[in-house]
Amino acid sequence: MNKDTFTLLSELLVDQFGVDASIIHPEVKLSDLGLDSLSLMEFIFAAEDAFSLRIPEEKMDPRQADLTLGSICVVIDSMKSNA
Amino acid sequence: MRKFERVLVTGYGQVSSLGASWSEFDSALLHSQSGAIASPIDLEGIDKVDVPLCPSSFDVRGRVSPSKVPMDRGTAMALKAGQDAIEHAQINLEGIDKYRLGIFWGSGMAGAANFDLSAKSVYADHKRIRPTNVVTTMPNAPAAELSLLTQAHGPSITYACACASSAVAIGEALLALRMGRIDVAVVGGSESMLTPCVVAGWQALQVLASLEKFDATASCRPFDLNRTGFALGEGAAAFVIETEAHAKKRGAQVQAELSGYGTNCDGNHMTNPHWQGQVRAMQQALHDAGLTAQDIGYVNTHGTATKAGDLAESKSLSELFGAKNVPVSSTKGLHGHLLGAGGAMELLISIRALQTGWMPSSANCDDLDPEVTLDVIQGSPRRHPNLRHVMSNSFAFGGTNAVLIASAAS
Repeated sequence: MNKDTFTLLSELLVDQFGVDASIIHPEVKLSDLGLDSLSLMEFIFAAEDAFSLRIPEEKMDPRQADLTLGSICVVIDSMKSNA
Repeated sequence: MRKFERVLVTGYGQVSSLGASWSEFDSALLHSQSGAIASPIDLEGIDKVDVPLCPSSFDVRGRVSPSKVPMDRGTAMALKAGQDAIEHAQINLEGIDKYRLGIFWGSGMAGAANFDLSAKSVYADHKRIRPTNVVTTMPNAPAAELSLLTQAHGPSITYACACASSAVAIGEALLALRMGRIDVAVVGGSESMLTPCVVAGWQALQVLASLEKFDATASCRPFDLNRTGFALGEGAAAFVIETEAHAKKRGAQVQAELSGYGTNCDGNHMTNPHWQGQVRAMQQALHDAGLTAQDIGYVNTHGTATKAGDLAESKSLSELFGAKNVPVSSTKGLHGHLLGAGGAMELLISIRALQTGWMPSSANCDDLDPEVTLDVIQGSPRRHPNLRHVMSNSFAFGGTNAVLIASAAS
């Protein structure tokens, strides 16, 4: 997992979604960040815009219950490296 | 003799171009410091023109909505005003029955600014639309976020009747409280639509004031002989209102009584006001409050500074009160026309007048139109030694008239 990717996603969560920085770490589940289904969609949307990419649903389904912040970073990093 | 329970205002908050603190707000009102600035309409295909606008310095950055989805600027203002009203009322929301807490909100075009920007993003910039575009542009977004903020489970209703929206919202909440449906309500209105397409639409309707080139603050001139229309403003005003029994039980400090409400519709013309309908709405409000015209010490007029609008209101007020019989002013020259939020903002200004005894002057009314047969407060604010009852008028496009009366706390 790229540290810059994690840092940028963390900043998004704090600045735009009001998530408490102290609970953000790579293993945290998205479902534990206090985001509901709508705000989760917005978060993924904002993350895609931040990295200028689109995550196909087969690579990651944001509704998946055990999806962690770290696993999103890994998907984004893999797409960045393939770009 | 009225049989229903009194409804009391126990807190209020506001966002506007007049300043964030109460000292700034009062100072702007009493020293006639207008928030108007010159702003260009610069869109391809439209003649370039500068118009006066009253934007607020309110900063939406860093604000996160209770739903955590992005907010329209107007919704952010609604939340700020609502939160401030709740704090002002010193009400512990955890300690009340949430099923008897309602949200009654007004906005004429809530979400219009966000929709304008979204359309530009899609049509002009060829970007994709955000997943929450619908829920941030829906007219009831401010009320929905306020319901989330307060966790109110009572009625959460949005009223959209143009410039009367928030006055109607407040009035309908008054009725719901009197009927015993709820104990407490957060009420008011918000509006923020100073985006290019929306402003251009108002300009095309030919109701915006001509910009005074050397002093934008002098552009909007209600009741002045040389008036040309209004300056669009933005902002929000919110109140906590509750039944007297509920306020007493929790030992609330009372700011004012919300004592009367009248509403009707001209059913006559989309934009031309109908003075007879206005008279009727004021009579309804007086009857509702158990008062007569002689009891009213100050009227905050609708006063949009259009040729037709000010004359119609002069006619209706003169008909009811007699010529030059009650001090009146329009404060739209200061905060601009807040459209759906206007009724709430002007009720707030009227309540501040009740509390301070100072009635603001009608900004920029230097040369009173001789056809206006009203006691317009000109130049300096006027002191009223014993202001007991005030009236706030909202007369909307579409013909809806709404009148609110507030009375001194004791």
